[in-house]
Amino acid sequence: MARQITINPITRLEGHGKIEIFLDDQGGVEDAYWQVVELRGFEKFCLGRPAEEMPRIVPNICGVCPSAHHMASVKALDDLYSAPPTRTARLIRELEYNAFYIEDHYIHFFFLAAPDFVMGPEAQPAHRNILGVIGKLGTEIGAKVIDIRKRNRDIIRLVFGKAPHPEGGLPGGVPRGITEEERETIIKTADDSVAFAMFALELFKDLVLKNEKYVDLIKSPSFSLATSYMSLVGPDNQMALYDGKVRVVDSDGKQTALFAPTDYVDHIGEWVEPWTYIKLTHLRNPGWHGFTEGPGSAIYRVGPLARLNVADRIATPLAEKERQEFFTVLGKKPVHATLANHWARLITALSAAEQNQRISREPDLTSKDIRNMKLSLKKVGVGCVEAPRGTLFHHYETDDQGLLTRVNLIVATQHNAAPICMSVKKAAQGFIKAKKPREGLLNVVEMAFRAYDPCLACATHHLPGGMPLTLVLRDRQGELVEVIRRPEEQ
Amino acid sequence: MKPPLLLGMGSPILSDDGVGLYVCRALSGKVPGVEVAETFLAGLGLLEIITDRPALFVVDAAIVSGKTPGSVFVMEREAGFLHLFSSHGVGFFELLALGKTMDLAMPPLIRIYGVAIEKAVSFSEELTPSLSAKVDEIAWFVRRDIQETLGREGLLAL
Repeated sequence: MARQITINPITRLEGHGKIEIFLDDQGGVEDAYWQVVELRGFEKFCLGRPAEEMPRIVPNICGVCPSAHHMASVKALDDLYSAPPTRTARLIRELEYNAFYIEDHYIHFFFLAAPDFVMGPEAQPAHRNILGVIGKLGTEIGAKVIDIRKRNRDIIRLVFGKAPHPEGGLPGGVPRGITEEERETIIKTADDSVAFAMFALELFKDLVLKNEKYVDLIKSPSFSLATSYMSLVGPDNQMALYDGKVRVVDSDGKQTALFAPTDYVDHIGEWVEPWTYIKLTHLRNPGWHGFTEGPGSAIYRVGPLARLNVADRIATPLAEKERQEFFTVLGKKPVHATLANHWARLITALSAAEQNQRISREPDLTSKDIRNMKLSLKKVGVGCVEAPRGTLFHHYETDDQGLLTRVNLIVATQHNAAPICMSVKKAAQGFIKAKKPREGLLNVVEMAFRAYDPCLACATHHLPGGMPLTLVLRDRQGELVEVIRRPEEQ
Repeated sequence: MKPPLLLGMGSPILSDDGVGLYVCRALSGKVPGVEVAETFLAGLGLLEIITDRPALFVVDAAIVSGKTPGSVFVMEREAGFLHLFSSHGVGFFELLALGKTMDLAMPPLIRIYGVAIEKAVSFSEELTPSLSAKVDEIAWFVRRDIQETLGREGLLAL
């Protein structure tokens, strides 16, 4: 029976990413592309359905990050029905959303970032993984990660049903309230999450910042990309995850746009390239000038690094202190170092945990006023959240009956698709100097890609998790030099 | 310890990709001593569902060249673990390997039923008619195999 097994059943329908690197006659890198070859069609699938179905449907887009789609969808319904949530409903939503951030960001750090820094970027793939990390740092770290994720997922389950597959979102509110008894557990989880966040940051500093080689790698020009940045901000331009205005700063850190999410069409252009199924995006101001970096470029990035580059401050004290240290070590804003996303991710997770410390102690958290029932269909609704990988827009339009006539989603991996291509090319040009690069050098190229934690399922609105990557090296005549697949074929 | 688990996996909005969910729906409450559940989750999200069980059975869609859609094959494989490039890449076997390394109570008995489907799937909340017509038959096969396996392993009393 074992002979029949040639596939992994979880990844048999996955989106397929391909990095194609073209070498010049000297063996250096001439060009590089990140291609996504998959279907689109999610928006069309939604048309004709009642808009209220969307919070149930959209979490199915991705088996890893359903909470972000769910929340953006619920907020689009708030707007569609002119029904802002009550204060308590908003507190409960933010509580759930912060819990989601905590569980999401630690997966990325411990499973993806840590292997490169704990085991070393040039370690053999067989050892350069979470098992290697656990082997080196001890099983208690893995147990801590799983425990803190589980307890934050319990919060998601409590608020919105099946965790982490929320589906109970309602326009104007939340499906259930919080009891005083539940508050006690939530306080404990929030407090422990802050302690864990500080532990993770200390670990990062020990592993990475105390190692000159790694700091040099982060600061390397090959891992730098001078783009604009976009994220949500709250009052006084403080970092915001659940709600706010969209702020854009250019590659010099100067604000170039600050707008309500409902106006996103005026600021973000979408177009299709023949070599990828992702709809690429650019800033309408200054307008598309191609895959260029620096002043005047329409390329922008979203995600953890963008959040720190865009925000003027973080509202919570411990995360704000870390934010200041981030810029002291890496230089003035904006920091263009792609690998700094890892550090920024840990700072965001700390902020989310601190926010939940505050929310869990809010007297209104346990109020029964959890739903605004004054619904009035206005036939257009836009919902926007800062998803863990970057700013997420859901835009719905309906007829008089509330049936969907138009759906548009812009997800983080779309915003980042062009920068990912450019980051991969720069890293490849910086590190590949021979026709037959060593495994470790190819991993360094992958590190540029991995820092964004792209999601093809979300980007193509199509697939539930799993995502193999093929790295193809070709010479100038287009002849195949080498193909590397991750995961390796079974 | 929790009872043996039959877990249906797949996407509920990708037509035949979700056949595992339909099979488990057909078997809900119909496999004595076995908990039946559905999920579309991937990666670490599954860890707490599958730990602390004497046996785990998974039914999921699979694309295998040469297999007629609706045919079922049983897979058993040693878990491996590969380097990831995205947090979306924690697959089922990687999850099993991780649990083992961390000394978690991973199910000692694992069988995976792959239901062959056509390669091209589209967005739909329904199975294609030809596969839909086979769901009861597939469910019957899975149920019988689970009972035989548990009987062979002396786990039926659990």
